[in-house]
Amino acid sequence: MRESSPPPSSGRPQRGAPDRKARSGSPVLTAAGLVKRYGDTTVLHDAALDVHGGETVAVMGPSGSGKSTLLYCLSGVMTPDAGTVTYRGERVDTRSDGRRAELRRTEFGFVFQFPGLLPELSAAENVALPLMLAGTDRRTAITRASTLFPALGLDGLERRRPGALSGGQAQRVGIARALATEPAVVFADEPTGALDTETGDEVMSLLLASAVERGAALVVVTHDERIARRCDRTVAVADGRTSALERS
Amino acid sequence: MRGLWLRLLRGGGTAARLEIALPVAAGAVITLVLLLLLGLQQGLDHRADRTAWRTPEPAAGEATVLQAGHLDYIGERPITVIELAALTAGPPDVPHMGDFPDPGEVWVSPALASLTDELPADHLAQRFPGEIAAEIDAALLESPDELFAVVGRAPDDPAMTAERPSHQWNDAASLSPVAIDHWSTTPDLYQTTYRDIALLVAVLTALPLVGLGGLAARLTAARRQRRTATLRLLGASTAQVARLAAVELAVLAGAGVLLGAALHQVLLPLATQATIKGGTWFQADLRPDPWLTLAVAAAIVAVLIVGAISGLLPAVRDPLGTYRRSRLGRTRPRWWSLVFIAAAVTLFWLRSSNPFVTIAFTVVVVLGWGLLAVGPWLIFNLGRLLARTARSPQGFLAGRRLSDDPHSAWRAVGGLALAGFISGFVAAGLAAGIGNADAYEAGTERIDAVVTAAGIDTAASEAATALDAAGVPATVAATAPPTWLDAADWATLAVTVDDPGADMDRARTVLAASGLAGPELRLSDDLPTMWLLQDGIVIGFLIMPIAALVGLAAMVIGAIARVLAQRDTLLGLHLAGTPQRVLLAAQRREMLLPTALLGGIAVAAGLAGGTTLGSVDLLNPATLGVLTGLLALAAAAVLAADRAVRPVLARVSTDLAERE
Repeated sequence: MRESSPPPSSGRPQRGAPDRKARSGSPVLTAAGLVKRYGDTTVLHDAALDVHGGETVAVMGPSGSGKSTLLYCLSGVMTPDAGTVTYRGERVDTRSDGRRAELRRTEFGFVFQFPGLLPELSAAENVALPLMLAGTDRRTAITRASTLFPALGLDGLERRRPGALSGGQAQRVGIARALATEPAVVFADEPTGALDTETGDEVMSLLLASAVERGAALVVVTHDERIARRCDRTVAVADGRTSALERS
Repeated sequence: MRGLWLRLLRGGGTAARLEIALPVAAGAVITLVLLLLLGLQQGLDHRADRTAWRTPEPAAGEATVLQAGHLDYIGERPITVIELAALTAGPPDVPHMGDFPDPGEVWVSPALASLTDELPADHLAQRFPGEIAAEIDAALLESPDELFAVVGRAPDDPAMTAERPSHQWNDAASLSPVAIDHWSTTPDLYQTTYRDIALLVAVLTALPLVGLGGLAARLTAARRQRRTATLRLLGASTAQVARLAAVELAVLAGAGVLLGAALHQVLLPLATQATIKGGTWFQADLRPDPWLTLAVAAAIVAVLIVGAISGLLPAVRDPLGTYRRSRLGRTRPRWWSLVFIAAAVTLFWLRSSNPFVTIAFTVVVVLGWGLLAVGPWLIFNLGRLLARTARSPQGFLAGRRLSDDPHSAWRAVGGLALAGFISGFVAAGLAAGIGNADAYEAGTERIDAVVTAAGIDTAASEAATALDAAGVPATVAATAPPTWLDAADWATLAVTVDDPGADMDRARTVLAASGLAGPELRLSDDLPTMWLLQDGIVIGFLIMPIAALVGLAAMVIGAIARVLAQRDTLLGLHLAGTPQRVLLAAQRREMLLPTALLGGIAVAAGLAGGTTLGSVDLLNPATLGVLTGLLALAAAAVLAADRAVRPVLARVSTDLAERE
């Protein structure tokens, strides 16, 4: 089922209203007919999604609906059992594991529900990690990583270890890490799920602003309608099927 | 990526320091022990090679030399005597001597020369038929302190024409004259048996070393797995994460290997003083070839790297699953181990010359390595059973955590289980040896010289007269020969000396000088058995502390590593209101139950293996003593692990800053 198919009836978001931001040109990332199974359970049924450069897309749906699986298929962490994922006209799903890893390293950024910072490294080193993986030497990578800290309200925390950061601070470091390589697409899997409302709002604002500022597309999986409302458009996932949700 | 591993290690705090220290320490201990074991194998090979010429092989062509031999004794030290007579005008030189002894000429080893000088002539020197003409080259000696003589005789000397009684397996004890045309290069059975036993010891010792290696490589497997998963999700390639782990382990294990090799150099002079098979060692015997040392070092580093990388495979293959901790630690028996076990047993059967040692080796390899292969699988099933039948939350938690991650539980208790297996083997083997020692002690005050049955009466009468004339109070009797000789052909001249401490060697000298010195076959049978027992005790008591230390360390470190690996679960349980005492009780059960189950199986398997060396009643002081010691060690290990884990568990289950 394509995202343009009629969505299931819902009380809140309404169909038919235009997207907040007009999409133009071809999408940078396209998924079509995605099927993903875990054993006997089919998590994605013919799911589809287009992501255009610089737009922000919220993926919403109940727990277990397949939205995180969709995110990981889009980003090349998982390979779908059927269907295609295309990034800038090139198939992602058929690439080798190494080439998908290269894509994650150079073109995509990730923000997880839990920051997933390495406790052995300082905040700046954690942010510098994707740069180092891409071949930048440590010193340059840390210098470049440190330039992201002021904009994310992390000034002065460069040398702190993850264990000495608050939840909100750690997640902002996670955002900085996702943006460090100046990715074309940032994927965020419930980035505020482990934070209180106030901190979550603050983190989400920073994520949206930072992504938009850098011209990166943002695909964010969330339960939170308030977050979805701040995105350009929302895609609903229910029982593994995607559908566009229009705003009221 | 360059230097990232170093940064990760430096930044890891206490856990990373342990991560650094353990591979280094493990690399050092494994290298040291392996080099010592290789040295022992090489030393025994060298001994066998140097002494092979003493066991003659009948001439296929024209005979040039008549060769015979026997073991004489000074106290309870054997003197190996080789008797040579030239059959041609230009006999071949004795290997490494550049000469051939003339009739009446005696060559002696340096140790025998010193002893001859030290003791009165009627104790030793007068037994030889001539003057000492040369000192024997070290290249012909079994050990630096070996008492060895080469005696030159004429071919028509009665000693070189009469048939001698042969020993059941110790060829050197009594060799009838054999016409030869070359010097033999085939080692005798006694030498090869020792070599086989050394291989058995190596396999026994390798068991705890494997445990130590596994512990070192995978101590912080969970931390490293989580790190790898994160790096993979961020786009690190398989090669990058593998390189990170490989460089880290190569540097750490490499440092350990260097340390171990340095320690080996320091300890080598001490090792040469260890008496095995009645003699000490030349340093060159125990120093493995440099290329072999390099190969061992490379192999140790490679095994530790492979161990670490294999632990990372789940995180490489499924980083998301590892990141979310959705992977279960379910396990199956490692059936591939059967190939290794079968190969080891086949090789040994092809090489071994002693059926008893071969059977013992087979049992050790099958049971010991088999235990390594099925240990995690047994723990997995124990956990499932425990979770299904649990009536308390601690029982349920312990069961689920055991079945969820049986490998880390095995790493904690496996070392102790292997110590149990080795102790069981040694306990049963010791008891078998001690039984033989009693028989030996009973016969040390008597000389049993085997002579022909036809000449026994004359020999007894002449011996009594000669001893009386020399002033050696003794009783002479004629008795049956050893069981493996035909009583129709042979008899034993039994000389019981009134004061064996003062007169035993004088009596031997009198008998030799009178031409009545038949070989002491009983002593040649009992003494090597005694040596074997003593060597077994020495080696057993060297292996057991290694195994015990590894077992103790594995339990303490493994239990801590397990708690650290489960920090999120423990934190979650604490936040959900689980009391600390329940977490502690569950932790205690996770240690105690696998220890009891696997320890019991291991000890039983070890005892079964040990009894292949000889039939014994296991309710004897030696066996019970070793097993009691093992029980005390297990209790100490569990207590130490409990004490060490308590603060760690309290910290990781309550400290939110511990989360990653």
